[in-house]
Order: sequence, then structure tokens, then C-alpha cells
Amino acid sequence: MNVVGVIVIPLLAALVTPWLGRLLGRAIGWWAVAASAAAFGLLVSLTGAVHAGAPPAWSVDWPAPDWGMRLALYADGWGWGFALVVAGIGTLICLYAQHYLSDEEPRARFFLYLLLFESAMLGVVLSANLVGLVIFWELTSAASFLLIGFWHTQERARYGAYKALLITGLGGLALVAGVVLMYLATGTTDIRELTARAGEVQAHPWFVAILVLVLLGVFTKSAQFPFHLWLPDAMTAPTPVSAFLHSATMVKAGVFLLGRVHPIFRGREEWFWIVSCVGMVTMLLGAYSTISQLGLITVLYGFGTELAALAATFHIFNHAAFKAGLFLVVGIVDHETGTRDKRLLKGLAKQMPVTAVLGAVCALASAGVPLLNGFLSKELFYEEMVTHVGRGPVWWLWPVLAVAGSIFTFVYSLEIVHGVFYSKLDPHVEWPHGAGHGHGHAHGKPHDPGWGMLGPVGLLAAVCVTVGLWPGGLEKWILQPAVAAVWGAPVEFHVAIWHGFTTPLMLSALTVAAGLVMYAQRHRLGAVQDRLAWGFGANTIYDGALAGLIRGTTWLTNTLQNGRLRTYFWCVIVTVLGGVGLTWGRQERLGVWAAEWTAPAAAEAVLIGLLIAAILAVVARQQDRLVAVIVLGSVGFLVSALYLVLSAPDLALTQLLIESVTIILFLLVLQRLPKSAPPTSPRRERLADAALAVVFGGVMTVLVLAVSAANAARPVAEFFTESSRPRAGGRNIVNVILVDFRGFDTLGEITVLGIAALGAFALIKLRRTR
Amino acid sequence: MELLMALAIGTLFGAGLYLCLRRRTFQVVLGMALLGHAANLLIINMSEIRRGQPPLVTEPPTATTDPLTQALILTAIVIGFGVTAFLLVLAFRSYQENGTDEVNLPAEEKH
Amino acid sequence: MISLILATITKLVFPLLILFSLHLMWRGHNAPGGGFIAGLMTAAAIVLVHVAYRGKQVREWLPMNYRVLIGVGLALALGTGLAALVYGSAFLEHRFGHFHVPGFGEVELATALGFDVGVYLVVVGVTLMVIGTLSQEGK
Repeated sequence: MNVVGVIVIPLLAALVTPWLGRLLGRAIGWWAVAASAAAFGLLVSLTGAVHAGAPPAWSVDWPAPDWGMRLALYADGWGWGFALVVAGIGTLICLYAQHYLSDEEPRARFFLYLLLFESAMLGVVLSANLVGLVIFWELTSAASFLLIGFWHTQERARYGAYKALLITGLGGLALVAGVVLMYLATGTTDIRELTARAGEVQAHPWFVAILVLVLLGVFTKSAQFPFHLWLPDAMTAPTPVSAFLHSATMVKAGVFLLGRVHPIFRGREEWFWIVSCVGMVTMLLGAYSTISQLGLITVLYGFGTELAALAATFHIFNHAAFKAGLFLVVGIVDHETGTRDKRLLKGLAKQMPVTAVLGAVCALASAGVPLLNGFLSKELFYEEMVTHVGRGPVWWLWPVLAVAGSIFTFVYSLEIVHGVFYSKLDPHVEWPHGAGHGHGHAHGKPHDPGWGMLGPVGLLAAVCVTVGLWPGGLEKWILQPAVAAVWGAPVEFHVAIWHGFTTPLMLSALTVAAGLVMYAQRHRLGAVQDRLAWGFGANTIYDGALAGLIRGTTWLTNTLQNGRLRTYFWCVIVTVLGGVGLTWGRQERLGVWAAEWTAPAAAEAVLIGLLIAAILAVVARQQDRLVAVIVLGSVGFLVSALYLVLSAPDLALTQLLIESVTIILFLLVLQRLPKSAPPTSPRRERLADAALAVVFGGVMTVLVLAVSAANAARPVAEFFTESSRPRAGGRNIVNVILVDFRGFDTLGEITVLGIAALGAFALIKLRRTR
Repeated sequence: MELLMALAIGTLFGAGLYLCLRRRTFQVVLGMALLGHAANLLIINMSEIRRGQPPLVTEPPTATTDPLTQALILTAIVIGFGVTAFLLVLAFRSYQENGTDEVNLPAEEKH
Repeated sequence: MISLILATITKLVFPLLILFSLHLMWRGHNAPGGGFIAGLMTAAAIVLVHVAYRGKQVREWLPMNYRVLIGVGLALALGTGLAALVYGSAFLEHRFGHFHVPGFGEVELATALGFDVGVYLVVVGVTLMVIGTLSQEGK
């Protein structure tokens, strides 16, 4: 039961937030902190159960258990550990945001979105089956759209939110397709079951298709190449949001899924090549270090070994800590100085010493400096890359590229430590006021913020240091169950700070050295890296494709929905003809001719002959309206006579009377319309219409013949005939059907009549006074 | 007989469609009326054609035609009447409001 | 008065038409007829009067608000159906029985008659409303 609470509490809290916000006003953030902390607390309380090997589970057989769709949660090591990260960092973010947001911001709305997002993300990680995961996945897309576009009055924010939604949404669609295929292939969507049947899944002919589709979902969400387009534009969100989205949640959802399906998919060549290559390319692109770190994790999952699984999982947790810390530090900087412009930000360490230290810790952790947590997972990364070198010359590429990517990350981190904080301060710098939604102090002197904003950063930095010095704690409580879940079976490992003078250590030293050199030359290299990542005009392609799509659909709508009745009729009739033609084309013989056609009596033949003549006369004399009406009337009367021939007295009577009234109506209206009207359609149109009409008439003729020739059983008709007298006390079966057996239809019919009459009345009586 | 009926129905459908594609509202209303007739006759052709066997219970019981199709058509005739009436009023009012009864114009020719 | 012959014939025929339409409705359950046909016949009869005489005169003779007529008809039809609920049957489930009416002998009645009357009223109201509104327009 506790497991459900983890998701439900933030969700309910979110829904209550708008109303509560009116009560609490500025203090609404504390509500969010409380809700998030409660979820975190619940998760902590589950520690015992997770470690005892009995992960808490909850499920309900709804909505469609026979189809594999049920609500189910499962807190195994991977889901539980990740949820701890989400809820924990979420609490810190809420606390931070409470102090970060200025008073004019709509706080209640902000925390509503944030809590919604948090509960959706918790749903993703705790879902026990793929269907639930996908649903919560899409919810995170929706919630992140709201969050990224929070400052929706800014064009950039709207653009960024829209772009993120489009790209991750497309990926989500692919993911849905993949899950459906998986269900069709195996008959289940439950993750535990799929893990147990991994061999079966991998042997299935659809394996590659499922793999590609699921990976599309993963790569779009985690901004891997070539879907990394949306990440930079998504940075237009308020900093706490960016911190949350890009360190612990949204982009992490992709790699979470990667870990989730890892035991199901790993081992296959396709998995390795696709995942690791995409990851490596992404890592090298790393113009934004978030993308590159995620690339690193992706590469490791691709390798599919125990060590790689450990390294990737470890790095996910480490990355959450230092990345969130870094984002929050950036937030502090722009909150205090009012700007994010790198050119202005120099030497802030003097004015914000504590922030500087904490920022340095996080940045160095991300760079992989020893004694911090990033170093440990980097070492494992290098170790994994190096292990495979013996397999062939191509395999040398991996460690080389790994080091290259890490050097880029090192340079970037150094920029923050040195460039922003520990550089020379320009004493005459002018801080802008209120730019970038910060609180540029009116007197121009930024300083360390209060504990509300420093506290979370400090906590995160402390985590980096603690794990870096004493990894055993993390290893025992979180990593063991998590890696076991990702690998599919318990794994023996031990993380230590010092393994001796191993190759990975050499590589780390190389990274640091080369990084320092590159940093010194950074001005020349920055341009190169930018070109690599964006120079291929990826954004232009996106913008162009989007514009083209909108143009195309506009053209289509304008052509098909142009307001002309004729267009609509053509569309409908052509489709009908197409459908009928398609069906007939598939049959061997149409069976249009039956042996026993009834022979017509002479009178009947004359009757129908007159009927056809009258119909044609209507068309021929359509311009002379009075004549047309009279001939139409005669058509009606002839049809009525036909009903008589066909043994339908009720119909004949009704048709006769209705035709009389209709003629009167026509004449009444004719009085008020012009008497005769020359043709207005151009000849071309008339010929096309005539052709369509002839084809349509011909098809319908054949259709009627086919219907007449078919032998139809009539059980329903016999039921009515037999029960008319005993059950309804009437001999006129048609009338009995109308008022008794199918009385409800008749009720509807007279209602329609009433509405038509009222409509006609309203058209005439109710109009704007002239 | 079935052949003749089929011909009649086909003619009704073709003529009705042709009129519905015209530009003036009056022709469209004519066309809809014809299409209504056509649909009704189509329905009644779904059952066998029998002459002189109206759907009335007699003592002793005799064979009757299919009463269900007739009930359907009765409803259709009456509703068709409602629709025709409404269409006529609509055409008339449209002429009053727009000053012209040409309403099926392509975009370029609209004034 | 538009035409003397038409007016005279209308005067004679109108009551017959009304009677005949009522007859059609009454026997609709057992022979060709029924609510629709009866309603159309009545409407046609009234239209005949409209054609033969001036509209204003007709409205004096037959002061009917057709909207109300439609409403009453619908209510009657619906009411018959709901009444079945009151008596424990399903919605619109009709019953019939044999009654002994003094002077007529054995009569077979069905609750469907109430429904049919509702239909009759609606048809009369609809037809006359449309024709009436159209004919008043533009005068």
C-alpha cells in the first residue's frame, strides 16, 4: 500500500495546490516541499522490504486485465532507487524554488506543475508493466511542456516547450508501438515476466522492430543524437525546473527505461551497436554536458556486461547529484546577478565564497576529479572500455573516444570553476537589474544567498563528497539492489577508491592533463565544438520540416474543405464508389443474375417506364422551376403507385399524402424564388458531374441486382409477422412495428420532425431586424 | 421485374446526384428529394418482391411481404419530408439574405 | 374567397376529410392506416381550407398554435411510454385488451393508440407549422 502512496501523495497534493495557493499565498512552496518529502519518507520506509528481497508491489485488475493492461506498481531495486532520487531531488528543488521565485511569479501554478511532473515521473519508475510506464511517460511529456513553457509570454519559452513536446511526443508514439508489438509477440507487458522470458523475446522475429521502436522513445527523451535538438531550447525554463528536468527526471527517464529493458534486450548484437554507437556520438557532441553525460551512460548500457551495468547505474546516481547541484548553482548566480551571460560573469568567488566552493565541488565531480563521486563512476567507465581492447583493433576506438568525450566534459566543468568563480573580478562590471528574472540587487553587489537556496546545493555537494570518499554506503543501500534489477540477477561487486595503478587511472590522469591544456586553449576550440554539434543545420531541418508540415496540412484542408457542396459530394461519392469497387474486385463473381426473376406485368412495366421518363424529365427541365416541381410531384405519385404494386399499402398512402404536401411546399417557396434560371455551371463541370452521376447510377443498379439475387434469411421479419397479433394485438404488422415493437425509433422520428419544423420556423421568424 | 426496379433505382440515384451537384439551391433540393426516393426503393428491394400480399395478419395465416423494410421506409419517407421542408425554407431564406440563389460557387467566383 | 366552386366543395368535403382521417387512425392498428397517414390527411384537409379561403379567415375559424400542438403530441407519445414504467413494464411497452363498450360490443384497444395519437398531433402540427410560416412570409 505504501508504494501507491508514493505516487498518489504528490499527485493529490498537486491537485489541491491551486486552491491551497489562494489560502497560503507565498508560502505554497512549503506545501510542495512537504508533499515531496512525504513521498521520499515513504520510499525510505520501504528500504527494509526492498533489501529483504521482497519488493513491495501493488496492482489492481483494471481496466483490462485480459489484455495485459492493469495498474501495477513494483518497487524493485532499480525503481525504488530511482524513485528515491526523484523524490529526494524533488524535495530539494521545491525548497530551492520557494526561495528562487520572485514574488510576482504565479507560485501556485508553478508548484502544481512541478508536483504533477514529480508524480508522473515516480509513476514511470515504479510501474510494473510497460503499459503503465508508457502512460506515465506521456504524462511527463505533458507536464514538462507546461514547465518548460512556464514563462509562456516569452516566445523562446513557447518555442522550446513546443519543440520538446513534439520530439519527445514522437518518441513516445514509437514507444507505444514498440510496447504493443511486444505485447503481441509475448502476450504480456509485465516487466518481471518479460525479464524472465528474455530469451524468448530476443529470438522473436520482431525483435529488431521492437528494439528500434523502444529505443526511439529512449533516445528522444534522453536527447541522444540525433534528437538532441530540443534540449538547449528547453533551457528557457526557470532554473529549478531545468535542474529537476535535466538532472533527475525528464531526460533521465530515457536512461531509466534503458536500464529497465536492459535485462530483456542485452546480449544481442543489435542492442550493442545501436545503443553504444548512438551514445558515443552523443557523448562527443557534448556541447552541453548533460547530453554528453547521458551519452556516456547510454554507451555503458549498450555494452551489456555486468561491469558496464554497474558503471552506468552508478553514474546515473552520481550524475543526478552533481548535475542538480550545478544547475542550482547556476540558478544562484543568475538570481544574484540578474544575468546568465558568460561574458559578464567573472570572479564571483570573492562575492559569493560559499556558493563558489559548492559550485566547484559539483563541477569537479562532473569532471571526474578524484575523491569525488564522479571519479569513481568514470573509472568504472574507463575500465569497461579498456576491457574489450583485446578483441580487435576496432575496439581501441572506444577508450579513445571515451577519453575524448571526458576531456570535453572536463573543460566545460573547469569553465564553471575557473571562468565564473575563481577568475579575476572586474570591479566595474554593471549588473543588469532584473534581467532574466533574477533579483539583480539594486546596489549591484551579488552575495551568497540564504540557506533556502544554499541548503539544497550544500546537501548535493555533500553527497558528492561523501560518496566519493565512502562509496560503500551507496553501494550497500542503493547500488546492490539497483544493479541486480538492471542485470536481472544479483551481481557481486565492490566499489573502492583505490585499485592500484591501473589503466583506468592512467586514463583519468590523461584526461585531467589534456583537459587543462585544452582549457588554456579554449577560445579556439569552442567554435569547433559548436560547429560539430549544431553546424549540420539540425535546427534548420527541424524548423523547415515543421513549417513544411504546416503548409502541407493547410493546403490539404483548404482544398478539401473549401465550402463547396460539390466538393464534399464528390469526395463522398468517389469514396463510396471506390469502396464498392474494391469489394467487388475481390470477389470472383458478382452473382447479379438470378434464375427466377419475376416477370413484370404489362402495367407494371409501363409504370416503371413512366417513372424513369419522369425522372429524366426532372433533370432535363430543371431550369423551368414550375415544370420541374410538377414533374417531381409526378415522380412521387408514380413511386406511390409502385409501392402499391409491391404490396405496401401503408407506404403508398403515406407517400401519396406526403407528395401532395411537398408539392404545396415547393409551390409556396417557388413563389418567392426567381422563376427560371439559366445554367450557371461551366460546361466542363456539368460534363464531369454527368459522368459521375452516370457511373454512380450504374453502380447502384448493379448493386440492387446483386441484392435482389442474394438469398436472404428473414428471421426477424418472421418474428414480427408471428408475434404481431399475440403480443401486440394488431393486424397491421407495419403499424405494430412502428408504434409498438420499434416505438422508440418512432419517438425519435417525431422528435426529428418537430425539430425540423421548429428550425424552419426559427429561420423565418427569428432574424435580425432589418 | 427486379431488372426494371434496378434500372429505376439507378436512374433515381444518378439523376439525384447530378442535381445535387448543381450550383443553385433549388436544384439541390430537387436532387435530395430524388435521392430520398431512390434510397426508399433500394430498401424495399432488399426483400423479395411479392404482389398482393400486404403485411396484414389474416385468418388463416397467409404469406406476407417483409414488414420490416416497409416500416423502415415509412420512417424514412416522413423524415425525408421533414428534411425537404427544412431545406426549402433554408433555400428561400438563403436567397433572401444573399440576394442570389447561387450558393455552390467555387472560391474564385465568390463575390 | 378565391373561387366559389372550390370554396363550396371545401365546405362539403372538409368534415368528411377530418372524419376519414380519424377513422384511418382508429383502424391503423389492424388495417392500413395509422398515426402518420391520419395526421397527413388532417393536415391536407386544413391546407385545402387555406387554399380555398383567405388565410386570416382560416385562422379565425381554426385558432391553433401549432407549436403547442407539436409539444402536446410529443408529450403524449413520451407520456405513453413513461406510463408503462409506472405500471411496472419497460419504457414504451404497450399492452392491449378487450373491452366491452356499450353500444359497440367487443372492442379491442391497445395503449399503442395513445402513442399513435401523439404521432398524429405531431404530424399535423409540423406540416401546418411549416406551411403556415411560409405562407405568412412575404405578405
